[in-house]
Amino acid sequence: MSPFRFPGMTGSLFGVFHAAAPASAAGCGVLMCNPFGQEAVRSQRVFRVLADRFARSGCATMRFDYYGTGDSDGDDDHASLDTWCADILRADAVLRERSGATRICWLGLRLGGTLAALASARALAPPERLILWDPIVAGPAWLDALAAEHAAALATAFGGAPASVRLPDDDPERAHQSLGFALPKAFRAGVSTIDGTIFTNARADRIGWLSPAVPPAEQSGGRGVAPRSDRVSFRTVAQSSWNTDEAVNAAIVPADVIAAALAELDETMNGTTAPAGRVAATSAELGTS
Amino acid sequence: MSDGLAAARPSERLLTFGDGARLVGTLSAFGDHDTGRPAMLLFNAGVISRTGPHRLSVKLARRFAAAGFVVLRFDLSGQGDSGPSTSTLGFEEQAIDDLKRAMDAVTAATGVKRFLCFGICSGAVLGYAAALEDERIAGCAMFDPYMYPTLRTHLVRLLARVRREGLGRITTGWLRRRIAAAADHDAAASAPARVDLGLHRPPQAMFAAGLARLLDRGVALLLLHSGSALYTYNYDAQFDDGFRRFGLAGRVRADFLPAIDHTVTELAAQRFLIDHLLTWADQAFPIGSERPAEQAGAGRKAPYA
Repeated sequence: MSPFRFPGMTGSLFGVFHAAAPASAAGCGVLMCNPFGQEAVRSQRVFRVLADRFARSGCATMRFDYYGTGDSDGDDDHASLDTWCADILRADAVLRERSGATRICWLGLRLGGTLAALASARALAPPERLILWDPIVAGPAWLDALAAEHAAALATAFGGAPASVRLPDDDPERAHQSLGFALPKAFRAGVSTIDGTIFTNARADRIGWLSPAVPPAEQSGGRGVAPRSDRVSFRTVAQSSWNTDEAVNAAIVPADVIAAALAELDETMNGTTAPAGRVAATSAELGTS
Repeated sequence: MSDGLAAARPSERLLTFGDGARLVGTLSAFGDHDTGRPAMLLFNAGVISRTGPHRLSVKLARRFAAAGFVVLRFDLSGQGDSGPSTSTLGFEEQAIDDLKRAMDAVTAATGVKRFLCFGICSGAVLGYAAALEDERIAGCAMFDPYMYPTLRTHLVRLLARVRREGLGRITTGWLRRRIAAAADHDAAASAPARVDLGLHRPPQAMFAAGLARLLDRGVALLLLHSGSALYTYNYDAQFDDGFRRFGLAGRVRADFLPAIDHTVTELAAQRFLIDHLLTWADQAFPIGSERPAEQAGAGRKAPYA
């Protein structure tokens, strides 16, 4: 595991490279795309474990922080779908250069899955496979969910004390935030445009979709990624078992997700394809790591 | 701090250190001039990576770097992006050893030999434990460290609950639990859980003795208590009341910040906390000073209290 910094479009970005185990190196590379905000904080350990497993399986793997997130340059105010898509393309180039890999897979979690699909449509050399782990398919609904989660978290954090004890925010724009992270106006506008067409337009030979339930066709891009599509396979994983603050403190890493992602990667390495549609109805069918 | 300096961006670079360079951190600094201020160490709060809850450590590091502090935020062994240790040390001993390696690395990289620790919860008490062991630590700021309720703490809590729920409902609930507990010991488990933020606190006399040792050594201390710990810390003068019998009243700056939650969730709270810390650090470590300024003392009322 080698941490490093590399130039992004707007500033220095932080990345971690997990070299492929020499004995099983398969000429395959995986780029991992973070979710947003508190979900990125909660998934840091999951991503590290996944990256280690991918590398041990023979795939060079790279994690990185978008501009304005994690350990990269920039502030919350710089949150931007366009910038982060450009960061994905830049990180993809760095991964290809460092690893020499010729078969590339992008794995994105939540907003990272949506960004990966979005960036693939802009890539000169799109990835061979996209692994989309519970991606955001409807931007406006997600913004509503972020606001609700923020309010619920504060109610818990102050143990029932009245909201009047908290600090007022004199700037209305700054009131747009979720779980400690700003939601700038331009970012909200970008997110509000997220819908299924992003997945319809995604460019990849195969799309592996990991989520608690198969999304309705109209949400996941109509015929483009609907279960009948010949390029999409759905795998069911547990509902948000990583996505709570309690899970962060317990350092839980969901075994079913590791198994599902490794199965997707195994297909990439071996050039095989699972049948399109639902390939595993329950996490139990996936086995464990 | 001038507006120009506040607006400037510090430079940041990766710093790997420790055996096999397995510990990973980011060093923030503004220029290469020596301000005489200690270097700040930020590390994990619980198992959250070095960026901190809600990226607070990144924001804090950049503000302090712009004010002339060298800042290292890093991951302890096995956490964030740092590799695991191969030693047989327990968690606290290993963490303190990691902090010592971090200080060695900062000194080698920048020449700064004095340090200031800031930590949240378990990170706060790790900084305190390291300060007891290593005299290079000249300042220790602790957010939600060990807390010791006084009689007044219990009364304040009870009064708040009466206001919120009404005396009748509280009395009925208490009686119901007492009766149930008498009939079935398992029912006692349904009593409200005590909120102590998960820290196993040492005897109060032991914590007092440790603080006194640090004061005698001239270490600048700041204790901050959030609005998430109202069960065990809920009024301005609590530290003085609780530690008067140990001779520490008025000797330690202890601030009650009820508007800020344990993980500093709201953006306004993040800005307030960073400003609060920087104001304290500016006073404790004036530019060009070799030793901490006289302790600021306790009992200072927060502006929103």
